[in-house]
Amino acid sequence: MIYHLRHLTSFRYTQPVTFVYNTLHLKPRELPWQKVQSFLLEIEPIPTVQTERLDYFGNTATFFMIQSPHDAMKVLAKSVIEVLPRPPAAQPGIPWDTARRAMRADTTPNGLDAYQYGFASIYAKPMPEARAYVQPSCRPGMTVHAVATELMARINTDFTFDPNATTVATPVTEVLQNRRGVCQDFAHLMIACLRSIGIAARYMSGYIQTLPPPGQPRLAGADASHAWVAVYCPQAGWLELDPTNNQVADEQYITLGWGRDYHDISPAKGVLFGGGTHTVHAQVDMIPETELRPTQQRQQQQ
Amino acid sequence: MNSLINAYQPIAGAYSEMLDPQRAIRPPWQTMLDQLAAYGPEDIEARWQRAQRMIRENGVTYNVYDDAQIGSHPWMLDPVPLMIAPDEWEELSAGLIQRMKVLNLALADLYSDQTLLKNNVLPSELLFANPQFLRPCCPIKPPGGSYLTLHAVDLARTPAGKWCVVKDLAQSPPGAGYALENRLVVSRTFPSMYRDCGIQRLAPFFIALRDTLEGLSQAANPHIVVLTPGPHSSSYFEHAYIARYLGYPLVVGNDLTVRGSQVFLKTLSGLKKVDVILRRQADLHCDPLELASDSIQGIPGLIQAAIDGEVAIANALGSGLAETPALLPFFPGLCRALTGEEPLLGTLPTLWCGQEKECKQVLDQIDRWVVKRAFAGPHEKPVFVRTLAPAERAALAEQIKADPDQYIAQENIELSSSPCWQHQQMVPRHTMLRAFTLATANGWMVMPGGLVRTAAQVDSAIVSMESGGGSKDAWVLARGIVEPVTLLSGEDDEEIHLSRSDANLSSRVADNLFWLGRYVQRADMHARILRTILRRLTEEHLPDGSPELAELLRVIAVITGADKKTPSITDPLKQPAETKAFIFSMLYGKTHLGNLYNALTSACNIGATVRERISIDTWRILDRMNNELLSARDEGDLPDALDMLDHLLMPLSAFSGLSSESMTHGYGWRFMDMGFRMERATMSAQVLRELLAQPAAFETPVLDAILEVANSSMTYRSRYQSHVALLPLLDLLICDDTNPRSLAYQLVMVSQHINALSQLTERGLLPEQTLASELVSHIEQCDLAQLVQTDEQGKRAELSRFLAEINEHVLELSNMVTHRYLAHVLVTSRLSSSIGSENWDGVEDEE
Repeated sequence: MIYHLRHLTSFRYTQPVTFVYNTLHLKPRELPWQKVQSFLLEIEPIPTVQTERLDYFGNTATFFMIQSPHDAMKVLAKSVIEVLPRPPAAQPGIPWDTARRAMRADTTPNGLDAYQYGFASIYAKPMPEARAYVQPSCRPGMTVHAVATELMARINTDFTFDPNATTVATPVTEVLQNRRGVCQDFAHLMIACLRSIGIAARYMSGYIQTLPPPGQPRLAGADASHAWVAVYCPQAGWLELDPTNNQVADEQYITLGWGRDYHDISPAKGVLFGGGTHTVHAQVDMIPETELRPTQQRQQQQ
Repeated sequence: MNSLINAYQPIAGAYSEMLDPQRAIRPPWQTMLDQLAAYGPEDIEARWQRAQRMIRENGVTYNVYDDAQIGSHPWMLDPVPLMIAPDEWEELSAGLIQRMKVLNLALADLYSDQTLLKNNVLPSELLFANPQFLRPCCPIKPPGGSYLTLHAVDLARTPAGKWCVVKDLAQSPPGAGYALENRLVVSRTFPSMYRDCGIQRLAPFFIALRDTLEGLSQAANPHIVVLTPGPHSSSYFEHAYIARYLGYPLVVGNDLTVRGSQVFLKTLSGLKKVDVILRRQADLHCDPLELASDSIQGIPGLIQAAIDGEVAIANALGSGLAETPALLPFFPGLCRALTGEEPLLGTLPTLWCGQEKECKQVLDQIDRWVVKRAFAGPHEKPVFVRTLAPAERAALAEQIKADPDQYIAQENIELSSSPCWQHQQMVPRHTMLRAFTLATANGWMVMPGGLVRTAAQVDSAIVSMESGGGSKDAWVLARGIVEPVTLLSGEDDEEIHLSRSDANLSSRVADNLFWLGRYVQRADMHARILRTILRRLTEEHLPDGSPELAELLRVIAVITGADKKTPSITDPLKQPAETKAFIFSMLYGKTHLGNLYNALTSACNIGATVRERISIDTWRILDRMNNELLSARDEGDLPDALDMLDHLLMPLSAFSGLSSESMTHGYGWRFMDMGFRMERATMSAQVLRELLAQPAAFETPVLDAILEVANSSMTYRSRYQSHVALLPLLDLLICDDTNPRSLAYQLVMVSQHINALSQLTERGLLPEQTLASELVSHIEQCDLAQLVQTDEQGKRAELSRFLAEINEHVLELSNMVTHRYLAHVLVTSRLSSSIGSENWDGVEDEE
């Protein structure tokens, strides 16, 4: 499936801002099942400095700074991406309670890379509450992926999607208590649960295609940034699970990148001088190439 | 036999640094002890008292972290140095150099290929569970591959006499500055002992440090700054001391800014590129964009600048990883893997509980160990398990079992003991040595000496400043003749003068100097008014009961804002209790925002933040003033208070004289003096207005009091030789620009400063220049005879308006100057996009 992706983030300030320092993670990651055919980043006002580098986790990070006074900033990322089916696990997994020991012994580059996602990070720390929540899904003999899949289903059932219940800063303990949140909260919760029983899990940042109700046209800007989870099982590898939608990630998902949690891979984070308070508005369009209207197609190709 | 050691009993079971098991003096101690004995106990004591006063007056302090209330503690230094033989030192140095090399290579590997993990030299948890492993720092390639420029090691000597490593300090090793200060104090206090012992000098080490820092940049004449977290950090004194000793500006994060990918210092004359940062701030707090985003001390974009190689930072960002306590047991493995050598210097037996076998070993015999956090921050306290109650021990064991990765255990050894001077004799104390190693462009160099720390009590094994211990100098004997070397004019001379042009002065420092001037002058004015009041209350004065007393009390109430809170005292002589209570609240009250106590403590607090910018003598004066006020007991009597004010006014008067003598007349001094002058102008105008606007029936005593407050009685009498009259008094205090207390004089000075500062902007005539010179001529040309006329209500309305206007204009000038030169401080906030929910207000932070 080929998508034309347009992600516009607009920042508005109540007072002029003189300096902005920003790090973006907005360039989709090149993966065996994801080909980035084109990518374009437009920032307004024009930054004084803009550089790209690979971060520790292999994602593209864009650093930029703006030095001229302004009261609004726009960051537009446009790309054309082909998403293929993810390859199935090469081997069956191992039982969840042997995973930690197996990972600890694996000092191959791949093994080390996976192991680091088993440790506490700012937004997803192992903790007794999370451990208690995941416990019913940890039965003897279950593989890592089986435990994680059951956990995903339970989170999906037990928790209510509620954009007003949380902010970026809401801790996992509070989400557990209130049983409400958004995709980001559910991903952090699921990661904290898995890490609490010694399993490595990472935070996936990207987009999911929303399908309009049958018979209705696609609404502009209706798609959204999305977050889900990838869980590692020695031998079987990574499995991507989406607790918000209770499904395995498929061709409907575009991956921007991953990290230990949101803090490593937030689409835009920055420090600004001045500005009073600010509001952020994000608009995402993820349009399958097959649905592009001819005019749009021309525009997108320009 | 040396008389000093007759009664000395080393601690049983510990290695004695000074005496061998047969009580014979170890050879390196002999000359020093002979010299010390030659001074004799009384002379040692007397010299030591003097030295301690010097330490206190120099403001050598150590801030204790746990206790914000106590604040800074005076530095504790013992006069008896720890003596070390050259052979022993060379052996130790080889081990220290090897250690620094290995840790530097380890950092380079862990921040790039991580072969140490792949080859099983280190368990990967040491990296992945480690908050000191800063992933954003991976792309930074420090110049010359030098992650560690300066490294420190805490060493202990085992009962068998072997030095071994207890701890590494890798990210901004503290203590080298204290070691230098200790050396200067001891060498000045016991000059002949210092000369005759033939010890190695410290200055070459600091010269090498300076050369090394300069070499970190490609620039021909690199601009180097010392970055400190600020006056509240535990070793702020040292940051300021090192900055002054090396001749670099001391800056806080807010003084620096990243533009493009370069780092700049915000100065009075604009932005100045910074090439090298000597970092005394934890790396986690250095860049809020990439690291701890809740940090307010950081410089956003600093990591990008470091990645781009536009700034060199010593030690490199991320080097805190090398001081991870859990790395200690793996050092021999690191050493073999990275250099192929065996470690030359042992490590105190240490176990990381993240390994099953080791964890069991710790839990089996838990009281044997000292337990520490595996990934500790710098201020984690070790737990001596044998001192715990059984229930606490069990609780600790449970904590370790629940999260074994997070703990290490170190063997609880008996630290060696060294002699400390107490009550005119030597007593033994457990001792540790902090040694410093420098990576220069041409190889490694160990500071010949170091910072020795001793326990507070004979039975205490806890050796730290936090727990009340002391410090010592370490003397390493030289082979052959010692050449004197110093960065300063002579090693025995610690005075350092600010000789550099200070157009590079940071705006923050200028702002602080401005306010220092204002507070000192405010304190001076308060003290003079209060003294004038107290003299009238305590000395036989006028038979009619000093009619001006009530007026003076009202003035002090008005200028401190106390008149709005408490009822005024109409007849002070008949209300002695109320009067005394009021005066004492003006002197000592800790909650009165405008009073003397407040002005003085504000002056001292600000002085502490700019102490590298003011001369040592000026600093001593501030310190002395603070002590005068603090040492005065507020339950004392009125004559005691008068006595205190007499004592206080001497250093207060000395302050302006000294600062104009011993500070170079650069922009920093101008800001300080401008603050001083503006405060004096507004306070004087206010006092004159309050006392003269409504003339008393019999005005002479009021005029006398005014002269006394203005310290101009002598001038007046020498000029007029008569009873005081209003017109000549006003001429002296308002218009006479030769009287350093007059309004005209203050404004002439302010005008000069404003003109000098205008050179910084290159924008032609500035509005504040015009205002200042207009104000000067307005005052000099005013018609006094006209001004003193009374109106139909018997008030001097003209004079009152005139003085009020002057006050307003001075405030306006102050705002103009502040706005032009000091308005660099900007408010930061955080920007973030969210996922899943569409909009949110950006007022919340991420964390």
